[in-house]
Amino acid sequence: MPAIGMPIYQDAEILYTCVRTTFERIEANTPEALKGLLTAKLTLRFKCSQPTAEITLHGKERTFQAFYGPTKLRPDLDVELSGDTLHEILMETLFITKAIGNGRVKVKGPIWKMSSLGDLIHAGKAYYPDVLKEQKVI
Amino acid sequence: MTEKKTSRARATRLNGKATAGEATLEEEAVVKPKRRARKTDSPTPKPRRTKAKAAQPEAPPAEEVIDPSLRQQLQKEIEDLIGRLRSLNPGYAPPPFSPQNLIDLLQENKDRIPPGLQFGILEKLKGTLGEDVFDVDTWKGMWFVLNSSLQYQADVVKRRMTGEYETDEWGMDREVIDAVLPFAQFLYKTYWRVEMRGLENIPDTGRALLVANHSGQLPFDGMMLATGVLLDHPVQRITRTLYATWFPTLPLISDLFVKCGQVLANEDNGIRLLEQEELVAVFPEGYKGVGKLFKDRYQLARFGRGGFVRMALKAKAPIIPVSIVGAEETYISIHKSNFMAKLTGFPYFPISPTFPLMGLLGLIPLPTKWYIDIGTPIPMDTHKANAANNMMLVSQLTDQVRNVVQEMVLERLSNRRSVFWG
Repeated sequence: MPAIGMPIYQDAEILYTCVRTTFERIEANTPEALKGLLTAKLTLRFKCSQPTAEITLHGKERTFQAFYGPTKLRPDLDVELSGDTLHEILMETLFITKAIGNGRVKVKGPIWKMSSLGDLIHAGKAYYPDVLKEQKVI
Repeated sequence: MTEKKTSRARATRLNGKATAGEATLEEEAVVKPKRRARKTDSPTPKPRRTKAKAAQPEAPPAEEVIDPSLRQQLQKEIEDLIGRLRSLNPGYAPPPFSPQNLIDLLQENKDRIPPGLQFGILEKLKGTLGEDVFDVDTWKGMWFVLNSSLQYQADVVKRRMTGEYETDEWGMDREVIDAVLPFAQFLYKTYWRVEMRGLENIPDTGRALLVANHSGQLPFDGMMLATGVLLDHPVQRITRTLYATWFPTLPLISDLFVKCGQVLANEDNGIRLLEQEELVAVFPEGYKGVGKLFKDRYQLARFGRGGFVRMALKAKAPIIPVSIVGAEETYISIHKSNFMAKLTGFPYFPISPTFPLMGLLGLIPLPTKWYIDIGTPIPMDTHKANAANNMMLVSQLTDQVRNVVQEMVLERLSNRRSVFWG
């Protein structure tokens, strides 16, 4: 459990592990949640601060791909947010539109395409808290 | 962290104002206590929430919240709060928000918002938590999303007007395809309720040549084939249809065809596209197929002089036979007027019970049920390098492909019970 005021993820590796494990479980158990991203043919990059990290979700191929760390892929949407904000969004304690409204999430690109993430985030809620516990993040 | 600090500072300053003797938001708002307790980042939020509840034992029941006066009061509160927030952070970049402006904006633009965006807005509303609806940040976010989306659309129009857009070497423009797709999708899914089978026969990558029967007076069959592959194929491939040489004589239409990825039909173009690993579609019946009379429906015309086979042999691309059933009955052509064809410069001029009698209304196609069947690929890489020069082989392969497509059409027709219901 991180101390009050400390970011939830201590470093990028923990963040990558948590998100990767969550996505792997979504792919294995609820692959239909990825359909929105694949149908939208969307490449989306999360640029995190605290810890500095980069996750690219690539939905332009037949199967969903996620890249952890910088890539050469050209994203359709660039989403800038802190690690804590990503954590809150994945926990579904923070509504993404609200996060945009209060400036915790900054988006570059056709912003309405963020809606294709809805099912993915919702499906992630089923696995993400367990992943955090397994990784001893909380 | 800076944003977090700002947020915290903003909450603290709001609390500070409240304790300085102004009417607090907790006293005014119907649903505010919960939100305030959550937003203050207090290490002990529970007692505060309990206190807030205790301070308002006579809180109105849930059904009274929808009372118009309360709604107006809430709207006024949000506007007041925005005023305060704006004074706290004067450098805020997005356009000014007010609930009234948001409602006005939605009303003004409801018809202009593209379907994809409408869906996005609905998705966002669907995901909204109950208490978030009453949070000013949510509405600011909605305002920002809506504004930037409209701004993005306006930028697209502006870029197109100034010619700042990208095309491939053939002139294909993805933005135009995205713009046309909703209409094509409506025709595909709703109007003609197209059922596409055998999509697994189209490779995910690499060259292939789709060879289909042609019908329907207007070339909607090409549009539906390309739409089906784009929408339903797992990798959503773009189909590069080769169109007849008459189309470039039409203004606007030819431009639209090019921007949608279609290419003028000739062997060189076809071979180049295949060598670029594209998925190419041809309708070898040409005008004879598309303009055939109703009495000749589903009787395939001659497949040209085998140009498509030479293309496939030279590029060593597999030929994939395709049958399209349902398009023949969209227009019932009872006669062809050579006089009108010469007069208008059209390759054929159909006379139907509705056209030209009803004018442009007569051009509305009938909502028949369509089937598109994708057949098994016929490999071309087994032939010798100079096989394309063997006229006998080309002729044999042309007939073979024609027979396969004809059989597929007849098989589908034998299973069809109704023209309109399938």
